[in-house]
Amino acid sequence: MRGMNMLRYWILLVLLCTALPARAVLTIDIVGAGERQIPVAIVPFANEEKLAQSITEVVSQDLKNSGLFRLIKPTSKMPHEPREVVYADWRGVEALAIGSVETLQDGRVRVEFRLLDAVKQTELFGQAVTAKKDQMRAIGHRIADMIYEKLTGNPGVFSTRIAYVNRQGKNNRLVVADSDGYNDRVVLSINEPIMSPAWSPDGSKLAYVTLEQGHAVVYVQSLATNQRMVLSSAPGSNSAPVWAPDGKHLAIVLSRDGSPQIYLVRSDGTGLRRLTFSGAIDTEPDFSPDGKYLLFTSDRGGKPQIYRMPVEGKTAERLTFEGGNNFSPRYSPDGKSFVFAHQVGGHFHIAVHDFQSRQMQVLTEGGWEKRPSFSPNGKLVLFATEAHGRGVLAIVSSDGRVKQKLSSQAGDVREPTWGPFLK
Amino acid sequence: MKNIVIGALLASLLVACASGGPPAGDLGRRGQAANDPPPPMAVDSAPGASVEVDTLNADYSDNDPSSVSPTSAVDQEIAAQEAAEEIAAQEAAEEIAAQEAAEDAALLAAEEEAAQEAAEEIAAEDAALLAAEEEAARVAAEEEAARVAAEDAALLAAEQAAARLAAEEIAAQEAAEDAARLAAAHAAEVQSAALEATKAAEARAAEEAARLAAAHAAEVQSAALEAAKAAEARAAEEAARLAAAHAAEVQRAALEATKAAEAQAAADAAAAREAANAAVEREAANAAKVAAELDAAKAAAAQAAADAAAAREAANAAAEREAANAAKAAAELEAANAAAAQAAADAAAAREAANAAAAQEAANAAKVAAELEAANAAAAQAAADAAAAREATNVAVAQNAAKANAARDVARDAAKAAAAREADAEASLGAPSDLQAKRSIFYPIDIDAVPEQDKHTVQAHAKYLAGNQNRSVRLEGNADERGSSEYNLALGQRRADGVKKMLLLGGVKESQIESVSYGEEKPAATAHNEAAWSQNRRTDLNYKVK
Repeated sequence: MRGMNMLRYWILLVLLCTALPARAVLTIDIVGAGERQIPVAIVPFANEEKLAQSITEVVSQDLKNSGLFRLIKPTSKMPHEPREVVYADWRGVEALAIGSVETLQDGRVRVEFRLLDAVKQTELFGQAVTAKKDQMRAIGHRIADMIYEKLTGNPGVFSTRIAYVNRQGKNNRLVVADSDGYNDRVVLSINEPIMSPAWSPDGSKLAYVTLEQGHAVVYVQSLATNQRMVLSSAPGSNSAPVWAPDGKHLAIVLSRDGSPQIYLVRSDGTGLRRLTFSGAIDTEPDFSPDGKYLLFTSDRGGKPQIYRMPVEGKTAERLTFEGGNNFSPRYSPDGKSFVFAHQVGGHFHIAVHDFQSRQMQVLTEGGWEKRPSFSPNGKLVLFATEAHGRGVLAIVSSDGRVKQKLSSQAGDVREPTWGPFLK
Repeated sequence: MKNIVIGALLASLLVACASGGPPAGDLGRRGQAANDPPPPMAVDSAPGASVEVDTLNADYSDNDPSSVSPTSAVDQEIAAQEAAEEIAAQEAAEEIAAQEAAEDAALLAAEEEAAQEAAEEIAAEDAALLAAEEEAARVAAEEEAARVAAEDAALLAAEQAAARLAAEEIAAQEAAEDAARLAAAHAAEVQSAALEATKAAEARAAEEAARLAAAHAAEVQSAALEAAKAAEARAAEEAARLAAAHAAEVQRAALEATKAAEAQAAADAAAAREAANAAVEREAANAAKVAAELDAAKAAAAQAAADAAAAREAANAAAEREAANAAKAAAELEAANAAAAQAAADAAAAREAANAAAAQEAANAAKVAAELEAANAAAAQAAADAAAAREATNVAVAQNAAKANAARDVARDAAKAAAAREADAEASLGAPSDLQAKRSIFYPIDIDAVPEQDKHTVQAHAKYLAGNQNRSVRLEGNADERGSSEYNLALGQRRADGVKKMLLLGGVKESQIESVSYGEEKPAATAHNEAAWSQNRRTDLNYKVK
């Protein structure tokens, strides 16, 4: 009986493996590894093969993508309960995930899962989750997040989402997807450029820029209702929206009074107030996590560089002095550093600037790498790059060790931004 | 006596030593000696030296001063010394001889005295005599022994002196030889040092000369380079000035051509206007004439007169409409002409405007014709109504119709001419003479100010827009893909706004201008290289009818 189950499991897995890439808009290709990879084993959950989507496959893939774990293939022994575990069978494994799936009468699915310390031979934690059938990927991401947090001490970001623009010819689509590229949803599809999507702090809204009115206009769209409103459509350019941590204000860039400058505006479009007065280009603002400072790109010194200024203040301090140009600063979630696009010698690199040491660390080899943003746990950086002449997304760990490329099936993928933790 | 002789010998020896050769420490004289030609018996070779020693020995043994070699100061001194010594030796020998003679005489005297005393005292004392004889013999023997000893001592002294002399002579000669050798060696050293010094000096001089030559060459080269650079710069300047002058000329010519075209267009429009006015006037006159004729015919038929009046009013109204239309046509012609002048800059717009103008013109001409025909018909109706018999009226009406046709033809011709001018204007599109033909401003990387060479283009657009306030322009700024998309959006906006500022300065109203940015989002060229990027760093001026 078990043999039959196994056979069915593997057939299903093979089918899933062949079928899944076609479902995903983005596929992931990983390069590099963490300094020390934690060996873990994820045992396929009992009765999982009855589901359309394997949960443990999602968990395994998430952990693998992070580059911090080495996944040990389960041996022929497949325990599902703690009492079934023979620890001697799991030498070389630090943690072991087991669980089972039960389809309830109402069609929902109940998932029980435990994480065991294979060295200390203790249970680290266990949880039971009930969800709709089509939410198995979400459950898998949740479990992966818990394993990640338990074993690394940092919260996982597998359940978080990203936004990006998929351009195919004239068509531009604003897309929201899981951080692994699956579960993608088109938020807006128009035949004019879409730029600069920005998540509201609660992840419920996106602000973005389009040229559909013949000039750059800032919109705010609800992801729940899909309703959108014009935030700013002054003459000239309206662009570079970013939310303040309070979720009630945004910083935007307007050229209505001359050169593009940074303004503060309430999320309903009222209370416009100008913040910079340089007469040069001031753009790409980003709020510090405490909301007190703004990072931005300015060419007031002749070349585009990164500056910082208090939101309530007029003096800006230049932060980057490295050769070449620097663009698109984004604070780390702890506010101790920022990531930016570093252009030197015709190449764009993703680099991190540490406020305390005032040192820059280049994270990538360089190419056409732009618009970086931190994952909400600060451990990864998502950015746009190019592969085989097409725009693709990539993720690099904030220490530069692990790199993933997310390739789209069609067109260019650009303007990515990583969303917040789901509340 | 002996002491004096020995002292003289010693004194002569000392004199000989003191005058023998220069002091060893006198470098000046040694150096000078080194410069003198070497003596015949040079000290270059040891055999020569040994020969010299032999010669000196032979001179000494010959005891002949005349055989001393006169060619050497050393030899002469040695010879003099030898002569002195020989004289001293001779004198010593003579003194010895004299002494011997004196001693002999003294001895004889003593013997004679003794014999005298013996003879005197023989008688007294034989024994004493004997003793005296014995004593005398003993004294004589002693004296003889002393004399022999003295002679021996003198001989020995003379021999020793001679030996010493010979040894000293040899030593002196050797010293002289050494001195000469040293001098020669020193001379050789000095000579080689001098040679080396000369060589070093020559090398230094050569080096210096080379350095100077190199420096000079470098100077010459740099001067040449500078001259070349200056020449290039001058040439470039000249070329730039020529190019600028040429550009200015071309621009002036273009402006003049534009002006001429404008003037031509204005003249044409005026002519058309005049023709139309004349036609209208004629039309009006004819209508008046018809009315007068109708008035004259009123007596014949009051009804006809009333109809004629109505017809006249209709004709007048038609004429007014026509006049208005003609004016409108003229204005449109003017606009079309102006559009033609501007057409070089705005090909599509000009073409559209021209087409529109031509179409409108044709429509207007048709309208005019139709209206004229309507007027004719009305007039004809009126005439028919007034009096069919009134041939004159009919003739007038027919004439009227003909004139209307003529006016219509004029209008058609004007329209054709306008169309032809449009065609000409279009044909001139793209010609570099027309600044407005340039509809895009291109920029260096990361620059948003209008480049110097494109300012005239923008000014030409400003002039046109300032003079045609019914026209407006949309400025679309673009950037290449380097930089962030947001930075590039800002950069494109600054580019468009830079053009906008120039247009405003040129008298264009703000309401005529819209400036937007597409950033890097709408590239004209999609390749990822400078050729494509340079196409994408651009502001486009797109005209539109307000």
